[in-house]
Amino acid sequence: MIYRPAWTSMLLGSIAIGAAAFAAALILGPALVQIAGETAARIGIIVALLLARFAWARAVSAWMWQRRAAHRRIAANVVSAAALGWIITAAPLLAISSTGASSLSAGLGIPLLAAAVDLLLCLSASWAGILASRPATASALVTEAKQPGILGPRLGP
Amino acid sequence: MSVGERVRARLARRRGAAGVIDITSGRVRVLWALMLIAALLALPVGRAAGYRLADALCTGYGCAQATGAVPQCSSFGRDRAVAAETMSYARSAIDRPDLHLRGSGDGAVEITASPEASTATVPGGRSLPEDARLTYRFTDIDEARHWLLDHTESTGRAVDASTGPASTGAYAGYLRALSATGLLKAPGRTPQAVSTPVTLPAFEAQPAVLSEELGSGLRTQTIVPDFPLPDTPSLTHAAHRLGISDALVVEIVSTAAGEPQRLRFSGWGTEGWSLDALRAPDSADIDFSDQVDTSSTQLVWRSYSLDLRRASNRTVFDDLTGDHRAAGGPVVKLETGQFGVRPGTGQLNRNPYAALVDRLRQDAVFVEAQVSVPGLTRGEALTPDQLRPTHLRDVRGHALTVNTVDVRSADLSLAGATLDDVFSCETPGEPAPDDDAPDEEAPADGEERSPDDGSAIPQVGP
Repeated sequence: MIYRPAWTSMLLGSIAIGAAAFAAALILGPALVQIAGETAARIGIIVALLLARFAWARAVSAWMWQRRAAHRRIAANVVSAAALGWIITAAPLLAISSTGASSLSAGLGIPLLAAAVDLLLCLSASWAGILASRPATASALVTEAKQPGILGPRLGP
Repeated sequence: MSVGERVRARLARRRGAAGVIDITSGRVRVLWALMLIAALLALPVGRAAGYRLADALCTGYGCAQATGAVPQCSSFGRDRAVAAETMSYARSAIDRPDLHLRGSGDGAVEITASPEASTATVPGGRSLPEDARLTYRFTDIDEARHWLLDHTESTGRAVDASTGPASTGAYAGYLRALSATGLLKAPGRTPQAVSTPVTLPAFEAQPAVLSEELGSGLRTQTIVPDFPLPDTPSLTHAAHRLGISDALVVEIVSTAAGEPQRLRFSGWGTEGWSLDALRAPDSADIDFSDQVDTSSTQLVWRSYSLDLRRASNRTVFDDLTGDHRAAGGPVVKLETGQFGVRPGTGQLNRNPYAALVDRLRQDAVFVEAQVSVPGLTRGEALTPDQLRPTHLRDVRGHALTVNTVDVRSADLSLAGATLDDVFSCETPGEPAPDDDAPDEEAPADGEERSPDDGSAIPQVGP
């Protein structure tokens, strides 16, 4: 089910986007909060983060679709790699902030909610990627009919 | 070929295979690697860089939170030293009512925070009530401001947003990681004082706040009696003689052993009062006004500090407080009752408040601050909550931001002492004040000040 080039690329992108977003929020966050207010700062950071994650998930999905991967396979690769990327970047900090067992168990609901948001984001991004790459794939299919082998190996259902 | 297929084919021809990014290309991997390295390098210095950026932007453009431009002041002489030590010229109302920054004239900055907001443990591990407040002191305004930003929920929430819309705690974890690795220098992590509201069952009319220095054991008891005290008219009369009405704050500083060190009387200033009238030989016969001066958008806060280490002052203080020390605690209660005239006989009785006024007008350090209350218009009466002194509001979580316009002081122990400016202040990014120039910051009659005024004008917590 896992297609290694796409999965590792999605994972690497997720980690890089997560780390870069945290570093950018560290530097810009205090200024944004004091000048624009907390709500605007949060919205700005969240929108930027989600757009970046969405764009990369969409690009990976489009690339896989172009290689004629099935919907389920695209979703499985994108979602699992994105989730692992989020865990690698955020989980250490969240774990350090929870000192006692009680606070850890009390905070479990929030990571689960974050995971659900991530899942929805990745699924929608994979569909967006598929939709975006359909014309290109269709064009390639026409070309393939004339020049077989241009698309490389078929990834299977 | 159907119409839809024809359109799709045309679109496909237009975009071609190049419309899809090659995610496995070396260029993309290098981009991710560079982003990751940059983020890892930014982690140890990101907090400091962020605060520096916020400081620069706040100084240049102003901020919603008035912690940006804080005056750097210098003061000289006994009266100015006392005034600088005791008068707060800056305070900040931030996003949570249980966290405040306050600057004093001697350059020190302190922050009061609830135990929950400060996330600190008190040395000795003693438990604190919910309404207690912890005091943190800083010698550097930048350190205080950064501590404040670290403990302001807004900053944490904004940074937490970078790990997902529903995520929380990442910034707290980051700070802990920095502390654990020694990358976060955090002065003031341990509170220096603890303040607790005190209400003694028999003294409901004298609610108090007891503040204890955790290092030296010095205790400051702040009594805020209901004013005027109906059963003690001589205290009300004494306050009016001192040019104070509507609210009264009495502070008593004692050593850990209970030896009184300093007494301070403060309150809102009345109209038509002058220091010369108080110091006049016949001041006891003058009919002082009992109305707070609300003729302009600025109010006056008056304060008298008396050194109780001097024997003559201590005698008056002992007479004022009598033997009213609460059992098992250092809480002092003011004498109440009828003084001056023995009830039913018409004979003169002892009057500790008259004696106190005599000592205050002869030996106190007098401080007078002109303050403006944002939103207050000329002639408008203050609400009871606004009149309640800041000390009590701080502890009970009802902040009111007032802005200092001018602070003056006089050492009344010196013959012919006059009111002089207390501080020589320079506010970063502000032009030096010109006494002769008209006050451009002052709003026109009836005009309200905007909440952002605090970033331009030093603020005071009387």
